[in-house]
Amino acid sequence: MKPARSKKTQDFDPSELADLILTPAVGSGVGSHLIHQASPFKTTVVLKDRTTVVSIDEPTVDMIWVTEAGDLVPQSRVKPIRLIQDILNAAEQTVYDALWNHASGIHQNGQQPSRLVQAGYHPLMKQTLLSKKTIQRVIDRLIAKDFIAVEHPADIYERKPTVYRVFAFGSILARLEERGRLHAARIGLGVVYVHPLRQSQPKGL
Amino acid sequence: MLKLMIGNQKGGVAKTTTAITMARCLADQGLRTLLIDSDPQGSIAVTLRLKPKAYLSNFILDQLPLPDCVLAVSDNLEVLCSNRETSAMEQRIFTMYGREHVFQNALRPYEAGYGAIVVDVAPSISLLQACSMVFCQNVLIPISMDTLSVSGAGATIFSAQAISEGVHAPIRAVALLPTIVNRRYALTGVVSQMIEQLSQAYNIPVLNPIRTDQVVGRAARMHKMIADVDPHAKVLDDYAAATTTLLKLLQPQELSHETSTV
Repeated sequence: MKPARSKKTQDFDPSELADLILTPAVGSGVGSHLIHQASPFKTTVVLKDRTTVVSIDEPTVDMIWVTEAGDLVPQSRVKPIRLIQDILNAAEQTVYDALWNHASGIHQNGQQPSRLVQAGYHPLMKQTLLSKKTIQRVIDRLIAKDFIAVEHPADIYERKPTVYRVFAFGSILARLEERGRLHAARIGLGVVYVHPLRQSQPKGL
Repeated sequence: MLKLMIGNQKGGVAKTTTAITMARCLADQGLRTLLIDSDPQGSIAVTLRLKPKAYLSNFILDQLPLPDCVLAVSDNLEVLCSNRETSAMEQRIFTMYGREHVFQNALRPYEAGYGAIVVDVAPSISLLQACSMVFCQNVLIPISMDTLSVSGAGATIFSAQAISEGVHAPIRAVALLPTIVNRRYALTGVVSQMIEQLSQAYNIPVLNPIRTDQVVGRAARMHKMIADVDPHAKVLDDYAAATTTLLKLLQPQELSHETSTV
Protein backbone atom coordinates (compact mmCIF):
# COMPACT_ATOMS: atom_id res chain seq x y z
CA MET A 1 0.00 0.00 0.00
CA LYS A 2 1.31 3.42 -0.90
CA PRO A 3 1.91 5.71 2.04
CA ALA A 4 -0.55 8.57 2.34
CA ARG A 5 0.68 11.87 1.00
CA SER A 6 1.34 14.41 3.71
CA LYS A 7 -1.31 17.14 3.94
CA LYS A 8 0.86 19.37 6.04
CA THR A 9 1.04 22.89 4.72
CA GLN A 10 3.98 25.18 5.30
CA ASP A 11 3.05 28.39 7.02
CA PHE A 12 4.55 31.67 5.97
CA ASP A 13 6.43 33.42 8.74
CA PRO A 14 7.16 37.04 7.79
CA SER A 15 10.09 37.24 10.19
CA GLU A 16 11.87 34.44 8.32
CA LEU A 17 12.93 36.72 5.48
CA ALA A 18 14.77 39.06 7.82
CA ASP A 19 16.54 36.04 9.31
CA LEU A 20 17.59 34.85 5.87
CA ILE A 21 18.77 38.17 4.58
CA LEU A 22 20.30 39.86 7.56
CA THR A 23 22.35 36.99 8.93
CA PRO A 24 26.05 37.85 9.23
CA ALA A 25 26.88 35.26 6.57
CA VAL A 26 24.88 36.86 3.80
CA GLY A 27 24.01 40.29 5.08
CA SER A 28 26.85 41.96 3.27
CA GLY A 29 28.21 41.91 -0.20
CA VAL A 30 31.28 42.91 -2.12
CA GLY A 31 32.65 46.11 -0.65
CA SER A 32 30.09 46.18 2.13
CA HIS A 33 32.67 47.87 4.31
CA LEU A 34 32.19 50.86 2.05
CA ILE A 35 28.61 51.46 3.02
CA HIS A 36 26.92 52.30 6.25
CA GLN A 37 25.31 49.67 8.40
CA ALA A 38 22.31 48.23 6.58
CA SER A 39 19.07 49.62 7.91
CA PRO A 40 17.06 47.14 9.96
CA PHE A 41 14.73 45.14 7.81
CA LYS A 42 11.09 45.83 8.50
CA THR A 43 8.65 43.02 7.95
CA THR A 44 5.21 44.01 6.83
CA VAL A 45 3.50 42.77 9.96
CA VAL A 46 5.39 44.71 12.57
CA LEU A 47 3.83 48.09 12.97
CA LYS A 48 6.27 50.69 11.73
CA ASP A 49 7.53 53.50 13.93
CA ARG A 50 5.93 52.02 16.96
CA THR A 51 7.67 50.28 19.78
CA THR A 52 4.95 49.72 22.33
CA VAL A 53 4.05 46.18 21.44
CA VAL A 54 7.58 45.18 20.62
CA SER A 55 9.09 46.61 23.77
CA ILE A 56 6.96 44.66 26.21
CA ASP A 57 8.97 43.35 29.10
CA GLU A 58 9.31 39.62 29.15
CA PRO A 59 6.98 38.16 31.74
CA THR A 60 8.70 37.57 35.02
CA VAL A 61 8.43 34.30 36.87
CA ASP A 62 6.31 35.86 39.58
CA MET A 63 3.33 36.83 37.39
CA ILE A 64 0.01 35.04 37.48
CA TRP A 65 -1.80 35.06 34.16
CA VAL A 66 -5.48 34.75 33.41
CA THR A 67 -7.40 34.51 30.14
CA GLU A 68 -10.25 36.86 29.31
CA ALA A 69 -12.60 33.99 30.15
CA GLY A 70 -11.10 33.83 33.62
CA ASP A 71 -8.98 30.70 33.33
CA LEU A 72 -5.54 30.59 34.88
CA VAL A 73 -2.65 30.06 32.49
CA PRO A 74 0.78 28.73 33.37
CA GLN A 75 3.62 31.19 32.98
CA SER A 76 5.43 28.97 30.49
CA ARG A 77 2.65 29.40 27.91
CA VAL A 78 2.60 33.18 27.95
CA LYS A 79 4.27 35.13 25.15
CA PRO A 80 4.33 38.85 24.49
CA ILE A 81 2.52 39.82 21.29
CA ARG A 82 5.14 41.00 18.83
CA LEU A 83 3.63 39.82 15.58
CA ILE A 84 0.12 39.19 14.45
CA GLN A 85 1.08 35.55 14.04
CA ASP A 86 1.55 35.31 17.80
CA ILE A 87 -2.22 35.53 18.22
CA LEU A 88 -3.45 33.35 15.37
CA ASN A 89 -3.43 29.64 14.81
CA ALA A 90 -3.04 28.21 11.32
CA ALA A 91 -6.77 28.01 10.51
CA GLU A 92 -7.43 31.53 11.72
CA GLN A 93 -4.55 32.85 9.68
CA THR A 94 -5.75 31.01 6.59
CA VAL A 95 -9.27 32.43 6.89
CA TYR A 96 -7.95 35.91 7.71
CA ASP A 97 -5.64 35.83 4.67
CA ALA A 98 -8.49 34.59 2.47
CA LEU A 99 -10.74 37.42 3.64
CA TRP A 100 -8.02 40.03 3.25
CA ASN A 101 -7.06 38.85 -0.20
CA HIS A 102 -10.70 38.56 -1.24
CA ALA A 103 -10.67 42.34 -1.59
CA SER A 104 -7.27 42.57 -3.22
CA GLY A 105 -8.78 43.19 -6.63
CA ILE A 106 -10.67 46.21 -5.34
CA HIS A 107 -8.23 47.87 -2.97
CA GLN A 108 -4.54 47.96 -3.75
CA ASN A 109 -3.52 50.95 -1.69
CA GLY A 110 -1.23 49.07 0.64
CA GLN A 111 -1.45 51.27 3.70
CA GLN A 112 -5.22 51.11 4.23
CA PRO A 113 -6.22 50.35 7.83
CA SER A 114 -9.08 48.03 6.82
CA ARG A 115 -10.83 46.49 3.86
CA LEU A 116 -14.50 45.80 3.26
CA VAL A 117 -15.12 42.27 2.08
CA GLN A 118 -18.33 40.58 1.12
CA ALA A 119 -17.72 36.88 1.37
CA GLY A 120 -19.96 33.86 1.70
CA TYR A 121 -18.94 30.58 3.22
CA HIS A 122 -18.69 28.68 -0.05
CA PRO A 123 -15.97 30.82 -1.67
CA LEU A 124 -14.08 30.73 1.61
CA MET A 125 -14.44 26.95 1.77
CA LYS A 126 -13.01 26.65 -1.73
CA GLN A 127 -10.16 29.00 -1.00
CA THR A 128 -9.15 27.68 2.41
CA LEU A 129 -10.12 24.01 2.02
CA LEU A 130 -11.76 24.18 5.44
CA SER A 131 -15.26 22.96 6.26
CA LYS A 132 -18.18 25.35 6.63
CA LYS A 133 -18.44 24.56 10.34
CA THR A 134 -14.76 25.31 10.88
CA ILE A 135 -14.99 28.56 8.97
CA GLN A 136 -18.00 29.62 11.04
CA ARG A 137 -16.08 28.90 14.24
CA VAL A 138 -12.94 30.64 12.98
CA ILE A 139 -14.86 33.75 11.91
CA ASP A 140 -16.45 33.94 15.36
CA ARG A 141 -12.99 33.76 16.91
CA LEU A 142 -11.58 36.39 14.54
CA ILE A 143 -14.44 38.72 15.49
CA ALA A 144 -13.79 38.06 19.18
CA LYS A 145 -10.12 38.75 18.67
CA ASP A 146 -10.86 42.06 16.93
CA PHE A 147 -9.37 41.03 13.62
CA ILE A 148 -12.58 41.46 11.68
CA ALA A 149 -15.96 43.02 12.36
CA VAL A 150 -19.36 42.52 10.78
CA GLU A 151 -20.24 45.60 8.76
CA HIS A 152 -23.59 44.34 7.38
CA PRO A 153 -25.15 41.03 8.40
CA ALA A 154 -26.10 38.53 5.71
CA ASP A 155 -29.48 38.87 4.07
CA ILE A 156 -30.87 35.37 3.68
CA TYR A 157 -33.89 36.57 1.67
CA GLU A 158 -31.80 38.43 -0.88
CA ARG A 159 -29.05 35.77 -0.70
CA LYS A 160 -26.42 38.38 0.08
CA PRO A 161 -23.46 37.27 2.20
CA THR A 162 -22.15 39.11 5.23
CA VAL A 163 -19.98 42.17 4.69
CA TYR A 164 -16.93 42.10 6.94
CA ARG A 165 -14.50 44.84 7.79
CA VAL A 166 -11.07 43.18 7.78
CA PHE A 167 -8.49 45.16 9.70
CA ALA A 168 -4.88 45.47 8.55
CA PHE A 169 -2.07 44.12 10.71
CA GLY A 170 -0.94 47.59 11.75
CA SER A 171 -4.34 48.75 12.91
CA ILE A 172 -4.92 45.44 14.73
CA LEU A 173 -1.72 45.88 16.72
CA ALA A 174 -2.70 49.47 17.53
CA ARG A 175 -6.15 48.37 18.72
CA LEU A 176 -4.68 45.59 20.81
CA GLU A 177 -2.37 48.03 22.48
CA GLU A 178 -5.26 50.42 23.19
CA ARG A 179 -7.20 47.62 24.83
CA GLY A 180 -4.24 46.43 26.87
CA ARG A 181 -3.99 43.11 25.05
CA LEU A 182 -0.25 42.69 25.15
CA HIS A 183 0.24 38.97 25.88
CA ALA A 184 -1.12 35.75 24.45
CA ALA A 185 -1.01 32.10 25.43
CA ARG A 186 -1.36 29.01 23.29
CA ILE A 187 -3.86 26.62 24.81
CA GLY A 188 -4.55 23.46 22.84
CA LEU A 189 -4.94 24.47 19.20
CA GLY A 190 -6.02 28.00 19.98
CA VAL A 191 -4.34 31.19 21.06
CA VAL A 192 -6.02 33.45 23.60
CA TYR A 193 -5.29 36.83 25.11
CA VAL A 194 -4.04 36.76 28.69
CA HIS A 195 -3.54 39.45 31.29
CA PRO A 196 -1.42 39.53 34.43
CA LEU A 197 -3.63 38.98 37.47
CA ARG A 198 -1.40 40.22 40.22
CA GLN A 199 2.24 40.42 41.21
CA SER A 200 3.05 37.82 43.81
CA GLN A 201 5.41 38.43 46.67
CA PRO A 202 9.09 38.32 45.82
CA LYS A 203 10.72 35.08 46.77
CA GLY A 204 12.52 34.98 50.09
CA LEU A 205 10.25 37.46 51.84
CA MET B 1 20.62 50.29 -25.11
CA LEU B 2 19.69 47.68 -22.56
CA LYS B 3 22.41 46.26 -20.32
CA LEU B 4 21.38 43.60 -17.88
CA MET B 5 23.24 41.45 -15.37
CA ILE B 6 21.61 38.21 -14.27
CA GLY B 7 22.81 37.44 -10.77
CA ASN B 8 22.04 35.65 -7.54
CA GLN B 9 24.70 34.59 -5.07
CA LYS B 10 23.04 31.21 -4.69
CA GLY B 11 23.80 28.64 -7.37
CA GLY B 12 21.21 26.60 -9.23
CA VAL B 13 18.54 29.28 -9.41
CA ALA B 14 18.39 29.21 -13.23
CA LYS B 15 20.72 32.16 -13.83
CA THR B 16 22.27 30.65 -16.95
CA THR B 17 18.95 29.40 -18.31
CA THR B 18 17.48 32.84 -17.69
CA ALA B 19 20.43 34.59 -19.34
CA ILE B 20 20.34 32.39 -22.44
CA THR B 21 16.57 32.41 -22.83
CA MET B 22 16.11 36.10 -22.14
CA ALA B 23 18.93 36.97 -24.52
CA ARG B 24 17.20 34.87 -27.14
CA CYS B 25 13.88 36.58 -26.42
CA LEU B 26 15.53 39.98 -26.79
CA ALA B 27 17.15 38.86 -30.04
CA ASP B 28 13.82 37.55 -31.31
CA GLN B 29 12.31 40.96 -30.57
CA GLY B 30 14.74 42.44 -33.07
CA LEU B 31 17.44 43.70 -30.72
CA ARG B 32 20.99 42.79 -31.68
CA THR B 33 22.03 41.07 -28.49
CA LEU B 34 25.35 40.12 -26.93
CA LEU B 35 25.34 37.45 -24.24
CA ILE B 36 28.43 37.49 -22.03
CA ASP B 37 29.33 34.62 -19.74
CA SER B 38 31.52 35.78 -16.84
CA ASP B 39 31.23 32.53 -14.92
CA PRO B 40 34.52 30.57 -14.93
CA GLN B 41 32.47 27.37 -15.08
CA GLY B 42 31.69 28.30 -18.68
CA SER B 43 28.13 27.06 -18.38
CA ILE B 44 26.87 28.81 -21.50
CA ALA B 45 29.58 27.26 -23.69
CA VAL B 46 28.85 23.86 -22.15
CA THR B 47 25.08 24.21 -22.45
CA LEU B 48 25.16 25.31 -26.08
CA ARG B 49 28.27 23.25 -26.91
CA LEU B 50 30.15 26.25 -28.26
CA LYS B 51 33.81 26.18 -29.16
CA PRO B 52 34.89 29.74 -29.79
CA LYS B 53 38.39 30.66 -30.89
CA ALA B 54 38.74 33.13 -28.03
CA TYR B 55 37.12 33.57 -24.66
CA LEU B 56 36.35 36.39 -22.24
CA SER B 57 39.84 36.22 -20.77
CA ASN B 58 41.36 36.68 -24.24
CA PHE B 59 39.10 39.62 -24.90
CA ILE B 60 39.96 41.35 -21.62
CA LEU B 61 43.62 40.47 -21.08
CA ASP B 62 44.88 39.97 -24.63
CA GLN B 63 42.70 42.83 -25.87
CA LEU B 64 41.48 40.89 -28.90
CA PRO B 65 38.75 42.61 -30.92
CA LEU B 66 35.28 41.58 -29.74
CA PRO B 67 34.12 40.28 -33.16
CA ASP B 68 36.99 37.78 -33.03
CA CYS B 69 35.82 36.45 -29.67
CA VAL B 70 32.07 36.14 -30.13
CA LEU B 71 30.07 33.39 -31.77
CA ALA B 72 26.73 33.97 -33.49
CA VAL B 73 24.28 31.39 -32.17
CA SER B 74 21.10 32.66 -33.79
CA ASP B 75 19.78 35.67 -35.63
CA ASN B 76 20.73 38.82 -33.73
CA LEU B 77 22.38 36.87 -30.90
CA GLU B 78 26.11 36.59 -30.24
CA VAL B 79 27.84 34.95 -27.30
CA LEU B 80 31.10 35.79 -25.57
CA CYS B 81 31.99 32.59 -23.77
CA SER B 82 33.93 31.96 -20.61
CA ASN B 83 36.21 29.15 -19.54
CA ARG B 84 38.45 28.22 -16.61
CA GLU B 85 40.93 30.92 -17.67
CA THR B 86 38.40 33.44 -16.44
CA SER B 87 39.50 32.67 -12.86
CA ALA B 88 43.09 33.47 -13.75
CA MET B 89 41.87 36.61 -15.46
CA GLU B 90 40.15 37.68 -12.26
CA GLN B 91 43.41 37.30 -10.37
CA ARG B 92 45.15 39.53 -12.92
CA ILE B 93 42.40 42.14 -12.76
CA PHE B 94 42.81 42.38 -8.99
CA THR B 95 46.07 44.23 -9.46
CA MET B 96 44.75 46.71 -12.00
CA TYR B 97 43.75 50.26 -11.28
CA GLY B 98 40.01 50.89 -11.59
CA ARG B 99 39.46 47.18 -11.60
CA GLU B 100 35.67 47.44 -11.21
CA HIS B 101 35.55 49.33 -14.52
CA VAL B 102 37.42 46.72 -16.56
CA PHE B 103 34.34 45.42 -18.41
CA GLN B 104 33.01 48.91 -18.90
CA ASN B 105 36.25 50.12 -20.47
CA ALA B 106 36.73 47.03 -22.61
CA LEU B 107 33.18 46.93 -23.98
CA ARG B 108 32.56 50.64 -24.42
CA PRO B 109 33.77 50.75 -28.07
CA TYR B 110 31.35 47.96 -29.00
CA GLU B 111 28.26 48.99 -27.09
CA ALA B 112 26.78 51.08 -29.85
CA GLY B 113 26.57 48.07 -32.13
CA TYR B 114 24.20 46.21 -29.84
CA GLY B 115 20.63 46.75 -28.75
CA ALA B 116 21.04 44.66 -25.63
CA ILE B 117 23.87 43.13 -23.62
CA VAL B 118 23.12 40.40 -21.10
CA VAL B 119 25.77 39.25 -18.63
CA ASP B 120 25.60 35.96 -16.77
CA VAL B 121 27.68 35.88 -13.58
CA ALA B 122 29.01 33.21 -11.25
CA PRO B 123 27.06 32.42 -8.08
CA SER B 124 29.65 33.97 -5.81
CA ILE B 125 30.77 37.27 -4.42
CA SER B 126 33.54 38.06 -6.84
CA LEU B 127 35.32 40.90 -8.57
CA LEU B 128 33.89 39.81 -11.91
CA GLN B 129 30.43 40.22 -10.47
CA ALA B 130 31.34 43.74 -9.38
CA CYS B 131 32.72 44.45 -12.88
CA SER B 132 29.50 43.15 -14.41
CA MET B 133 27.37 45.27 -12.09
CA VAL B 134 29.35 48.41 -12.85
CA PHE B 135 29.07 47.73 -16.56
CA CYS B 136 25.38 46.80 -16.67
CA GLN B 137 24.02 48.87 -13.77
CA ASN B 138 20.78 46.87 -14.00
CA VAL B 139 20.60 43.63 -12.05
CA LEU B 140 17.91 41.02 -12.60
CA ILE B 141 17.71 38.54 -9.75
CA PRO B 142 16.28 35.09 -10.47
CA ILE B 143 15.01 33.38 -7.32
CA SER B 144 14.16 29.70 -7.32
CA MET B 145 11.62 28.31 -4.90
CA ASP B 146 13.85 27.64 -1.91
CA THR B 147 14.83 29.78 1.03
CA LEU B 148 18.56 29.87 0.31
CA SER B 149 17.97 31.50 -3.05
CA VAL B 150 15.99 34.25 -1.27
CA SER B 151 18.99 34.67 0.98
CA GLY B 152 21.25 34.86 -2.08
CA ALA B 153 18.94 37.45 -3.60
CA GLY B 154 19.27 39.57 -0.47
CA ALA B 155 23.05 39.31 -0.65
CA THR B 156 22.92 40.38 -4.31
CA ILE B 157 20.79 43.41 -3.44
CA PHE B 158 23.25 44.41 -0.73
CA SER B 159 26.19 43.89 -3.10
CA ALA B 160 24.51 46.14 -5.65
CA GLN B 161 24.02 48.84 -3.00
CA ALA B 162 27.59 48.50 -1.74
CA ILE B 163 29.20 48.62 -5.17
CA SER B 164 26.91 51.44 -6.20
CA GLU B 165 28.14 53.54 -3.30
CA GLY B 166 31.73 52.35 -3.64
CA VAL B 167 32.19 53.27 -7.29
CA HIS B 168 29.52 55.99 -7.51
CA ALA B 169 27.55 54.18 -10.20
CA PRO B 170 23.74 54.04 -10.24
CA ILE B 171 23.51 50.26 -9.88
CA ARG B 172 20.11 48.92 -9.00
CA ALA B 173 18.20 45.67 -8.82
CA VAL B 174 15.62 46.14 -11.56
CA ALA B 175 13.45 43.13 -10.87
CA LEU B 176 13.07 39.85 -9.05
CA LEU B 177 12.25 36.84 -11.19
CA PRO B 178 10.71 33.78 -9.51
CA THR B 179 12.06 30.72 -11.33
CA ILE B 180 11.52 26.95 -11.31
CA VAL B 181 8.03 27.59 -9.94
CA ASN B 182 6.00 24.49 -9.23
CA ARG B 183 2.75 25.35 -7.47
CA ARG B 184 2.29 21.78 -6.26
CA TYR B 185 4.99 22.23 -3.64
CA ALA B 186 3.91 23.87 -0.40
CA LEU B 187 7.25 25.67 -0.17
CA THR B 188 6.50 27.51 -3.42
CA GLY B 189 3.74 29.47 -1.71
CA VAL B 190 5.97 30.38 1.21
CA VAL B 191 8.87 31.50 -0.99
CA SER B 192 6.50 33.46 -3.24
CA GLN B 193 5.32 35.39 -0.19
CA MET B 194 8.94 35.98 0.83
CA ILE B 195 9.69 37.35 -2.64
CA GLU B 196 6.68 39.63 -2.37
CA GLN B 197 7.88 40.80 1.02
CA LEU B 198 11.39 41.38 -0.35
CA SER B 199 9.91 43.31 -3.24
CA GLN B 200 7.97 45.61 -0.92
CA ALA B 201 10.87 46.09 1.49
CA TYR B 202 13.32 47.16 -1.20
CA ASN B 203 10.86 48.50 -3.78
CA ILE B 204 11.91 46.06 -6.49
CA PRO B 205 9.23 44.85 -8.90
CA VAL B 206 8.55 41.12 -9.29
CA LEU B 207 8.25 39.76 -12.81
CA ASN B 208 5.85 37.01 -13.76
CA PRO B 209 7.00 33.60 -12.43
CA ILE B 210 8.85 31.16 -14.66
CA ARG B 211 7.21 27.77 -14.35
CA THR B 212 9.16 24.58 -14.16
CA ASP B 213 9.30 22.73 -17.46
CA GLN B 214 11.00 19.55 -18.60
CA VAL B 215 12.01 21.20 -21.83
CA VAL B 216 14.72 23.14 -19.96
CA GLY B 217 16.64 19.99 -19.12
CA ARG B 218 15.91 18.48 -22.51
CA ALA B 219 17.23 21.55 -24.31
CA ALA B 220 20.40 21.56 -22.21
CA ARG B 221 20.95 17.92 -23.00
CA MET B 222 20.46 18.58 -26.69
CA HIS B 223 22.80 21.61 -26.41
CA LYS B 224 20.16 23.83 -27.91
CA MET B 225 18.11 26.80 -26.85
CA ILE B 226 14.61 26.23 -25.56
CA ALA B 227 13.17 28.20 -28.47
CA ASP B 228 14.80 25.79 -30.92
CA VAL B 229 13.64 22.67 -29.10
CA ASP B 230 10.04 23.63 -28.38
CA PRO B 231 8.89 27.06 -29.54
CA HIS B 232 5.57 26.55 -27.75
CA ALA B 233 7.01 25.58 -24.36
CA LYS B 234 5.28 27.18 -21.40
CA VAL B 235 8.61 28.21 -19.92
CA LEU B 236 9.41 30.09 -23.11
CA ASP B 237 6.09 31.91 -22.90
CA ASP B 238 6.94 32.88 -19.33
CA TYR B 239 10.38 34.16 -20.29
CA ALA B 240 8.94 36.07 -23.25
CA ALA B 241 6.38 37.72 -20.97
CA ALA B 242 9.07 38.53 -18.38
CA THR B 243 11.30 40.00 -21.09
CA THR B 244 8.50 42.20 -22.38
CA THR B 245 7.74 43.43 -18.86
CA LEU B 246 11.41 44.06 -18.22
CA LEU B 247 11.72 46.09 -21.42
CA LYS B 248 8.74 48.16 -20.34
CA LEU B 249 10.33 48.69 -16.93
CA LEU B 250 13.68 49.76 -18.38
CA GLN B 251 12.66 51.46 -21.58
CA PRO B 252 11.67 54.91 -20.27
CA GLN B 253 14.76 55.12 -18.09
CA GLU B 254 17.14 53.90 -20.75
CA LEU B 255 15.63 56.23 -23.30
CA SER B 256 15.79 59.20 -20.97
CA HIS B 257 19.38 58.28 -20.14
CA GLU B 258 20.25 58.17 -23.82
CA THR B 259 18.56 61.45 -24.60
CA SER B 260 20.22 63.13 -21.66
CA THR B 261 23.66 62.06 -22.79
CA VAL B 262 23.17 63.13 -26.39
